[in-house]
Parts: sequence; structure tokens; C-alpha cells
Amino acid sequence: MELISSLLGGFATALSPANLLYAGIGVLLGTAIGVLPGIGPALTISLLLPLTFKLDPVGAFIMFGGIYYGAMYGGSTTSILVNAPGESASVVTAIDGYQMAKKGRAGAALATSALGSFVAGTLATIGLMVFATILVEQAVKLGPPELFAIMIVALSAVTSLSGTSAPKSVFATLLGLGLGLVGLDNQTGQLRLTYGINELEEGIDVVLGAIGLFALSEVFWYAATLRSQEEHRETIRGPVWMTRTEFRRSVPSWLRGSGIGFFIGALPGAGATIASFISYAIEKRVSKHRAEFGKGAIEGVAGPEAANNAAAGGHLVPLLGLGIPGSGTTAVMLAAFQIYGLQPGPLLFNTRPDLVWGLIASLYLANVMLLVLNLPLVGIWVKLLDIPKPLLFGGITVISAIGVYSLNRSAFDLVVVFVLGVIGFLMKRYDYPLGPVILGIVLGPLIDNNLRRSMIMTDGSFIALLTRPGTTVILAIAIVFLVLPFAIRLYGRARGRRDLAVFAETDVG
Amino acid sequence: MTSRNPDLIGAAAIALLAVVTIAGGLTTPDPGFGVVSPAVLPTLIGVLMLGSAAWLAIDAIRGTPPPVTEPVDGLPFGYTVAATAAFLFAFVPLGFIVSGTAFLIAQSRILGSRHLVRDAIASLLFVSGLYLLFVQGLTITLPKGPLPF
Repeated sequence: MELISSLLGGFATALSPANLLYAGIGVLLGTAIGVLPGIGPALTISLLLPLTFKLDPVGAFIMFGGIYYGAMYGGSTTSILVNAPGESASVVTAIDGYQMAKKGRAGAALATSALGSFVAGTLATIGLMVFATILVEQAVKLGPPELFAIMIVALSAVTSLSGTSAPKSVFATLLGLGLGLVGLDNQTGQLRLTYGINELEEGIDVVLGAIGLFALSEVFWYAATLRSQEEHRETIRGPVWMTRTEFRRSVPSWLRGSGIGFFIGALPGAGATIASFISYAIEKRVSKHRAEFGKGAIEGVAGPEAANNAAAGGHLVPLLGLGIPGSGTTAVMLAAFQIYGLQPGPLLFNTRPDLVWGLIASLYLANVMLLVLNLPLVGIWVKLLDIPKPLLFGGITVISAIGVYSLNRSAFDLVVVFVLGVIGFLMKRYDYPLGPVILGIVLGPLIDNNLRRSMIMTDGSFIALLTRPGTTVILAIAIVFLVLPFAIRLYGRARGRRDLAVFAETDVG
Repeated sequence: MTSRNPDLIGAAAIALLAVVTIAGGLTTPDPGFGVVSPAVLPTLIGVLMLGSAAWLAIDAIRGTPPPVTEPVDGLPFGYTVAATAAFLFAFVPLGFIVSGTAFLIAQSRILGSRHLVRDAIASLLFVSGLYLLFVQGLTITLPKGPLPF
């Protein structure tokens, strides 16, 4: 009952004309940027962050909700029509979506993707509401040692589930943690890892990390691979809708995808990309039309699209419930909260219920807006792909510079972001995952803070910290996360199951 | 496995970064209060980084195939990096409109566009539009450089 009244309060906030407008702008911008190839939700939020600086926090987060869901949706359009996914979670959609488009069924693929995203987004938001509330009730009982252990789980999961090489993933995580510790230590007032550079005293903002590692590196990547860039775009023939048979085949896939996506998304580290891969594997296994997979099976679009959108809702469970991000995108969202001086978690539910419930209610509204706007507007989204690539990639750099400068009006931040852009390019080129770096930047100071507070509680005994019942159980989960991908990979290789081997080799964005 | 294996070069670069991190950690002053010194975590990160470098090197030496890399288009890549550096360094002294427009025109040309007039007009309109949106619409200050507005 309390849940319903809180949600109604949220709707009262979200339905104010100004907040409806912010949600609408967020959905439109998120979709528009998400459609562009190479730009995922983490980067979309980073690039659009300055637009929200002058809004009140409630309005800003309602706009973020729209941007997040819009960006998740936008990626599918590019996957289906161009076979160039806008973000990693839509890679699987491209397999059958592009084949459907080649057969003249682009309209049906886009329709099942839009309706599946709506169903999944709505179910995931219900799940978010229920599970975040339960988590908040439990989270108030957690002390610094348990929070430290949960963060280790998040890092272990992201490290073990990212990239193709374990030492490279470990390095990426450590690099992020190191970057996160640069600057003034807020417990002792000492400077760390600044090497005498005064401008580093304030630390390295995660937004700089996201823009440098994701935006500038993408521009450098485009320039470096210019000759191999080829684009074959399919056109939409006929209405953007499905036949009755296609609709009937899609519904169970949407529901399965929603469940898989939400629960996998809620696990720290296991992102939308993995959820969509698992959904595809399951759809292929249970489908009566298995032979169509890879050649244009509608279930191969419906399931993974539902899964990646539901995972977006699942990601918000640990962020809102515990204040711990489980992915690169939610790490950037946490940074956005921090810009407003807010810390998501149990306290925020009590101190700013208008904000938390307004955000949750706005996610329902964003879903409806996406459905109403996106099917009729799909022609306009496709037109965005007509922007000449040289201007588009140049434009990304220009918008990135505004995003960086508007944070602190610091010319030095522009230098930092350039260096991170070059590092991001090199890491991408030589197969080092970028997702763990972003998560490390955010979690570095939080882990440090909770570890040191825990050590005060245990009088400096690390053994006493590890043997607390709560931390022992949580750290055991971390070990499972570290071992699991190796075990799955070995099992997959032993059984010749390439899908299982690939499952453990995807980047978490 | 040859001396040009990029993973071995990567391992060497990581080892160097690890040493720099350990040095940074060890030179962090300890104020003497608190149970854990602020130097501990940075030093630990550096040591673990050194471990990941060794792991990567061992993997490469034991014959794990290096990553498959696409050939780099040297000129557009080099010019893009140089133009981006020039833009970011000129952002404050020349202002957003001048540096942004010049960069966009140059970047379009580097990436293969041969429509100078179209690119110049599109760049100026795009950059001026962004300036108006942020400065007038959102009251976010952007550097104006030598321009009077």
C-alpha cells in the first residue's frame, strides 16, 4: 500500500507540465544521440549532462531517465537498418534484425523492437520499484564492511565479465581505481597521486573519464579506420508494424527477455550486453523456428531487445537501492547525482522521496513517450544517419569540449580528457575493456572510504573485517564471479559450445 | 610471440605505470592519525598493476595470440589527434566560436569531406547554435576569446 502511495506521489511530481517537458526532451535527445553509431547510453548521458545543470535535481533526473531509456531504444534502429549497432547491447539485435530488413521486413523488426522495449521497460520499472524498496529496507542494516564487500563484488563481476583477456580486464579495473583516487583524500586532507600538479587536487571527474574514454576515443577510432568504413543501409518498405503471426511469435519472447534482462541487469557488472546474448541463446533454443535464426527470425530481435531494455531498469536497482553502480552507464548516473550533492541509496529514499519516486514514475512515462513517439518518428531517426560522418564526428568532439569545460570551467580538464581519449583509443585498439575503467573511477574513492571506516570498526584488523558473517558471504559471491567466467569458458570449449565461450567475452558498457 | 607482440609492449607500459603509481603511493604523507594510511590503497593498486603486467607478459610469452588489429589509416588518425589537441588547447584563448568553427572545418576535411563552403557554413551555424543554446539559453559560460560577445 505504501508502495502505491509513494508511486502516486511520484506521478504527481512527474506529471507537472515542466517535468513532463523534461521527460519528453530527454526521450527525444536520448533516442537521437543513441541512434548514432558508436554512441552508447553512458556517453549519451555524459554528453548531455551540461544541459541539466540549470535544472532543479528532480527535473534533471527526470530528464536523465528519459535520456537513458531513449538511448537504449535508439541503438536498435541502427542495428536493424545499418547493421552498425549504436551501442554494444544492440549487437545481437543486428544479427536477425538486419536480415529481416534485407528481406523487406524492417518495419516488423522495428515494431517488435519498439513494442518489446515498451513491455520490457514497463515490467522492469515495476521490478525496480519492488526490488529497490526491498533492498533499501535491508540496506539500512549494512555497515561500511558490508558496503566495501558489495563494491568488491561489483568490481569482480565487471572485471571477470569484460573483455577477452583476464589480465587486461584486471588492469582496466586497477587503472580506474587509481584514477579515482587522484586528488585530495577527504579523510586526512593529504594529496594522493597528484605528482605536484595543483590542478589534480580536485581529482578526475568520472564525466571526464566517460567523455575521454568513450567519445574522443571513438572519434580517433573512426579516423584511424576511415578506409574500412562501409555502410549499407536498408530502407523501410511498408508500414512499421507486424503481421498477426509475427505479433504472436514476439509476445513470449518479450516476456522472457524482460525477465532475463531485469534480473541479469540487477546483478552488478552483468550488463545489458550479456542479458541480450543470453536472451538470444534462449530464444534460439526454445523457438519452433530455430532454422530461421541468423536469417531473420523475429524472436531473435524481440527477445534481446526486450532484454537489453529491461536490463536498463535492472541496473537502477543497485544504484537507487544501495548507491552502488553496477555498470559504466550507472557509474555516470551516480556522478550526476554527486554533482547535485546527492548520494543515492537508502537515505535518499527518506530524504528526497519526491526525487526518487518522481524518477521512477518518469520512467513509466518515458516508456509511453518512446512508444508513442518512436514508431511514427522512425523515419526522422533514420534521417539522422544522413548527417555527413566527418561533420558528425567533428561535432562529437565540439560537444565533448563543452561538456568538459562546463563542469569546472577548467582548461586543464580539456588536457586530461585529451590524454584519456588517446589512452581510450589505444585500449580499444589492443583489446582492453573500457567499462571497468569508468566503474573503477567511481568506486575507487567509495571503496577506499568504506575500507578505512571498516578498519576503524575492527581496530585495524583486516582478518576481523573478512570474517564478519555479512562480508564473508558477500566476498564469497565475489570469488564466484571471478571464477565463473573461466569455468563457463572452459566448459564451453570442452563441449565445443562457442555461444558459451562468447558469453564470457563481452564488454560491459 | 615476437618482440613486436603488442601485448608485450602493453605489459611493459603497464609495468611502468605501476611503478609510477607505487612511487606516488609511497610518497603520500601519512598524517599519523587513522587506522589505515592514505598511502595504502594507491600502493596496493600499483603492486596489483605490476602483477597484471607480469600476467599479461606470461600469457604473451606462453603463446596466447595477440589481439587482431585493423591497419590504422595513419594520416587521418594523426591529423585528427593533432587537430583535437590544437582545438582543446585553443578553446580558452581563442574562444569557443572561433576554435570550434576552425576545428570542425579542419576535421571535416581530414575525414574526407571536400565541400569546403558547405562545411564552413554548417560548422559556423552548428557552433554558433550551440553557443547560443548554452550561453543564452542555459546561462553556462563558454570562453568568448577575442570576440566581443
